[in-house]
Amino acid sequence: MMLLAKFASIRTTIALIVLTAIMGVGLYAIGIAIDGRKARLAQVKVEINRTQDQLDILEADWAYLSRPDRILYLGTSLLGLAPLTPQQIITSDELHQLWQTTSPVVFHPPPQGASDRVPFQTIPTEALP
Amino acid sequence: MTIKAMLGRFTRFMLAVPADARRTAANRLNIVRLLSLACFMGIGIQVLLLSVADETRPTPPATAADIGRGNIIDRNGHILATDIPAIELSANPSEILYPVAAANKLAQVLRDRDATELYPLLTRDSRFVELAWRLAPEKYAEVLALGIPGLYGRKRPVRVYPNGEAAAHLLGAVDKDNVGIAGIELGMEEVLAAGGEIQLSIDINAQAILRQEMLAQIANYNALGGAAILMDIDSGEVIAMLSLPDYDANYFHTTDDNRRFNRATKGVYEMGSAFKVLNTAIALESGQFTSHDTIDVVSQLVIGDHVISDYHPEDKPLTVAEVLVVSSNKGAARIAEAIGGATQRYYFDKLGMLAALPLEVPEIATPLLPSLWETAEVMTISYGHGISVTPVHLIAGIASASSGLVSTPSLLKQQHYGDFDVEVFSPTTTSQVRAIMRQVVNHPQGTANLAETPASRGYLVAGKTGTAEKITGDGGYNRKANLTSFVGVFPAHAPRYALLTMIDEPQPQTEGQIHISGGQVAAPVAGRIIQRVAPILGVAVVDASQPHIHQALTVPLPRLDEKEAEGKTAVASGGEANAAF
Repeated sequence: MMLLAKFASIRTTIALIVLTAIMGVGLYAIGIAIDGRKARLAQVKVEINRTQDQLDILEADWAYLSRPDRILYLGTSLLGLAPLTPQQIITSDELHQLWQTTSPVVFHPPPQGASDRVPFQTIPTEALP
Repeated sequence: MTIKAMLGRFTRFMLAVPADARRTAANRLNIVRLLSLACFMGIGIQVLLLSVADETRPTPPATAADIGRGNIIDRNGHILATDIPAIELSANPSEILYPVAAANKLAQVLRDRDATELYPLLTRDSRFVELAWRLAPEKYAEVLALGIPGLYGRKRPVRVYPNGEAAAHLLGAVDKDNVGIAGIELGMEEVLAAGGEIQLSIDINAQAILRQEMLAQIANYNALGGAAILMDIDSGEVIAMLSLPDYDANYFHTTDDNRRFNRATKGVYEMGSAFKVLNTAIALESGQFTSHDTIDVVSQLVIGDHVISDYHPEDKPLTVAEVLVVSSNKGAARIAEAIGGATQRYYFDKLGMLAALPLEVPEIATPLLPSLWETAEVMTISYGHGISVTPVHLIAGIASASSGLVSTPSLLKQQHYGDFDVEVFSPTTTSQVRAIMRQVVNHPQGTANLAETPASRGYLVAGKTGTAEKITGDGGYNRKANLTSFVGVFPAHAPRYALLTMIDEPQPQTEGQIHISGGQVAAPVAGRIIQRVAPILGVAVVDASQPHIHQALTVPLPRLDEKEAEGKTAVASGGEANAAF
């Protein structure tokens, strides 16, 4: 009862009113901050969506540009590449054996006086797509 | 009345009240005050917590529309099917003020629809008309720039298949609402619709090679179409699968049924002589035959009113191994007769030849089996007639005959191996079958010499050709319409991959050439495919003269060696048996 009586004092009432006012202002400020953050969040979400869309398009584009028949066409017609023949592939064991053998010589150095530069095949610009 | 006067009246009223009652009133007032303060504090704290602890709040579950459809990728992660954003353009005709001008302006931007088509739409008595259902975002920007009121755009995903024709049959298609209606898109609809990614067992590079080589051979022989399958024998994974003629997967909806038809999984065919491999494996496994037992292929073989004959008749008996190497119908039929229908059917069942295979695409077919399984059927089935299976059935059967284990084909990349360790044939049987199949390719008298190119020699291809006359409408066979095929495994001493090539109705290339066989058409294309695909798959060239390999792949062929020595070329390269009735 004593405690309740104390609360009844005018000073407590004033203190509570002040506290309420402070809290009110605080909550209002928080509310404003939340609105700001929500707007920013929406903006970021839009950006994420847009970037995701761009990623999807770029990935599809990459898959389209790197499709095997196109790479094959570009490789053979422009770079002069040819599919590997089985004889061009050796296993690591075989490599080891080749390394160990002294004869026959696997690598022949170019003869003296020969140009060590192999001219690159030039590609006519009109052949480029 | 002033506030001061009000307070004075209140004080006088309170003083008039007895002290007890005053105290009670004050206490009650305090309780109410405390309660409202507690409520206010509670709400305040809750608001504070909600705004500060934003991240810890559970996010609402995303709906299907937010997730988007999952991608389909190949075994190495290349995208085979994906969604890209597009705009669905619609109009509300009641909001369009100048339909003639709007139709003219729109026609200039949309291009695929002219003003005479658009005008009726824009004047229709409706609140919604669809103008375009997959507009690129840039196009939509152009439409917006026209400044026509009453046009609306809605973002929606569009399914694209960057590889176009490659693997089109396997991927299938989706409808306007991005729901699967064919192929893996339908077979795996649940996973894809929930945003899950599907990784196929397909290697898109191998797929492109198969397609290129098969297209070239089909063009060479002016054939109707074909199919090709490359399968990993250990795991059952399909590395490449092709049906020709094919189509661009992005244009499924405007493709005719013939192109859409997946010959590899849904077409059932009498596959012909490749079945002799299964017949030989069953004969050896049953214990009734060894590879060097002799079979009478000279005397006439009549069953009921049918005569079973060989395309290249022999004048001396052959061994069980030689029957397969020269592809003798008579020999295969006599072996099957001795084995009996019950045993044949038992093994066919174990090999999965009697039911539809559990592939992940809905386009599968159940084999056509004979209504009676008696001596005549047993004999014809031994060389691949009287039973129609899909090419996938055949390659799975041949894979089993060379590895001994049941091969269940799958189009999805397998996460774990060894699920299929059900033995059908013993290692003794399979090593002999492989040695004989190797001789089909390697022996000068074999029917599939062309399955090995000079460059692919080290891959030790073993296989069997097939040339089946197609069934005509009245149930007979058409001598001029052949289904040619080759089924093989490589490398023969330790098989890792199986390959099937099938070419439908190849036409003779030269005047006067009447018979056209699997050895001439399907085997060479298989050889070229293996030469290009084996390095990608990491199969190393082996030296066949190494003693253990040489021994494993040698099988005595006395009669054929004798013929070869005599210089006879009765069995020309590519010579092939055909149906006798």
